[in-house]
Amino acid sequence: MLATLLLLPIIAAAVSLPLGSDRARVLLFRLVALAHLALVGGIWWRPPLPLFGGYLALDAPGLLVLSLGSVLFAGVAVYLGGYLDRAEQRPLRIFVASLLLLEGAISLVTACQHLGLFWVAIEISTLSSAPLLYFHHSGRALEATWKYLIVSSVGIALALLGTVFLAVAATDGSGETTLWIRDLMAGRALSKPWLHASFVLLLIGYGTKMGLAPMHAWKPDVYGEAPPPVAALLAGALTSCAFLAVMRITGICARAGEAPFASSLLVLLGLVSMGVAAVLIVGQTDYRRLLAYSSVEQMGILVFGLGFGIAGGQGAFLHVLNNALNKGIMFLTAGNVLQLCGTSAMASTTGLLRRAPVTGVLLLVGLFAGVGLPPFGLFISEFTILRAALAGGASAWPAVLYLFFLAVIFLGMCAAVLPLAQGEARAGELPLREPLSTTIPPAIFAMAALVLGVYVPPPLARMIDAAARQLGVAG
Amino acid sequence: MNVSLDLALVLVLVLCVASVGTSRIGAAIRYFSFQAAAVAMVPLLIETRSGEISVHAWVLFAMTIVLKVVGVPYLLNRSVREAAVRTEVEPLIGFGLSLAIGGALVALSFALARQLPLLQKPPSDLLIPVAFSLLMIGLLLIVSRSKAVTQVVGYLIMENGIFLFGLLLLETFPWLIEMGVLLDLFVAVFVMGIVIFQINREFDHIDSHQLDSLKD
Repeated sequence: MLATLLLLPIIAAAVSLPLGSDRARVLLFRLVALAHLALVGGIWWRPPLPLFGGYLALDAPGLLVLSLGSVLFAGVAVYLGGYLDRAEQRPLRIFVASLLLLEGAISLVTACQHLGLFWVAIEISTLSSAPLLYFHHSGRALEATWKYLIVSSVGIALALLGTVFLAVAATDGSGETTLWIRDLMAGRALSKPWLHASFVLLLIGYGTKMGLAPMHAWKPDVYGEAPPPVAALLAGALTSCAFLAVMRITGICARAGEAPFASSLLVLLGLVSMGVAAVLIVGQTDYRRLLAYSSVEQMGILVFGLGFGIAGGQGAFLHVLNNALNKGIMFLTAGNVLQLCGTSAMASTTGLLRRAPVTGVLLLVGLFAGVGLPPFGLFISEFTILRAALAGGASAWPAVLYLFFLAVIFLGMCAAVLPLAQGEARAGELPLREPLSTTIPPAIFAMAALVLGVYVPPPLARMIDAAARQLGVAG
Repeated sequence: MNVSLDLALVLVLVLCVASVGTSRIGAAIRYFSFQAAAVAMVPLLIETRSGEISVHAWVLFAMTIVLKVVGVPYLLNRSVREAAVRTEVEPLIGFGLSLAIGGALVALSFALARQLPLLQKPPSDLLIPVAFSLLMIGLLLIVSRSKAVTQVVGYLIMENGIFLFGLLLLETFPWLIEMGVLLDLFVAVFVMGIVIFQINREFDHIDSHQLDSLKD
């Protein structure tokens, strides 16, 4: 089961290369993404056996991230056909192969139980996403791709160093060491100075991949220039993989009795990210760059949540699911706006409710869900994290700042996005045509975000609970 | 035998500093290639101290030679040739100053290495300071140079530093992972090479600091 799941996208990538037509390639991607989703559903039904002596196995956090990635890919695959029909015509050979490879890499990341292999998988995901950014072949896209490559590569190099340091920290008297997650989580004695250095490096390294401030420089450029469906995958699925990395090392620190050290850094970095996002969201003029800063904020909330033990972890895992759905709604809708109006500069995209009602409504739903209004899921997860921060923190200050930044971002986002939906359509502008394949996927994401805000199904709740337990002391 | 290990590490460090001081991109790539060759020798020299050289060390040596000494410099030279750039014209930090900063970073590395205690004595006292130096000088090149190719050389020097750290764990690190890391590195440089080529075609130069239309 697990083997099929991991091999399917990679084999499909190889098959897609010699195919004759681009239409067939897109169809293949659709089929594979839907089959992947079905397989992931099957895994919820019956957990798969580990592979390769345990190098690859799905535990609770891995399964959660795998599921959100698979849902997002399926939605984007359905969306892509309608989007590409109206986009600038480009050869799709490399594009589709890279999409499939990215899906394979993301699945691999979620299944890695060895931190060395985990690093390799994350690097593959970075490399396979680079060609996707350059799809439009413009100078600006090229600039974004270069920034993404060089910043992520340096980040990932630091993560590799952190991984090596962790192995040094785990060396025992006889010279044996381990990078198996289960060994590191089982209370192995770790050398404190090396563990601290390793945690800092891994947090900076994988934090760069998440796009935490101050390592977020690539994010607005990449999300602003990448084709919106690709941006949805990066902001929803790829950042969640990096979140998984940060969560795993936080768990290792917690089990080694270094939870306070890890918490202080996570809370600090979380608040800095939210603060930077709050400052830059206000006055943003491009919708997609606005979403990029919103992503910096959400990543900040995630690591902030990780800083408050099991309770905060429950909030963070719920939040990672909600954020993926929300970024799905927002970027896919942004793609529609871009195609309807030809730009994502917010000054020239007003009055969408009148000109394109479905897109206008989706835009509003994405906004309300994204700023954490009830009854959407983000409200519940942000509230869970707040409660954990108030209950678990030594001082109330982090919680106060957290609320303050959320409020500023709420106002900034509303002030920016509301005119897009409402506003007057300029005279002489006709209503715009909206094909179903580009409105149904974001609508389904919106329904899911709504459902998660009202009712978390018991199997999901149990899985989130099991995942969050990895952040606590052994027991 | 320890003398040859120390010599190799000193050679790595000298070549690293040399690549900071040169203005010619071709020379920087050549220095990197020599440096990678010296780095490739290190696992063999570490194991000759204890007698037998394991298959693991040989494989590591061969992979490093193929990928870092031959493969990567070939890719870089090709993109330099296609982009027709020879020299680093306007670095953000002058060459003299870069050398001074590089020297300071090496000193800092020796100080830093004393802060991290090891359960087992490392194969050479120079291993950790040299690894730290490569790391920091690599970062210095990435942030202070304006040509995309030189930034990639900086990244590669950084990667060599991490490789040296990894040798602390020579006996216990699984092969599979090391091969994965080396292959990833190679593909990364390959992808970067393609992007450099595209930058050149699009902008008629490979000056990454002129890539600045995206900002807030």
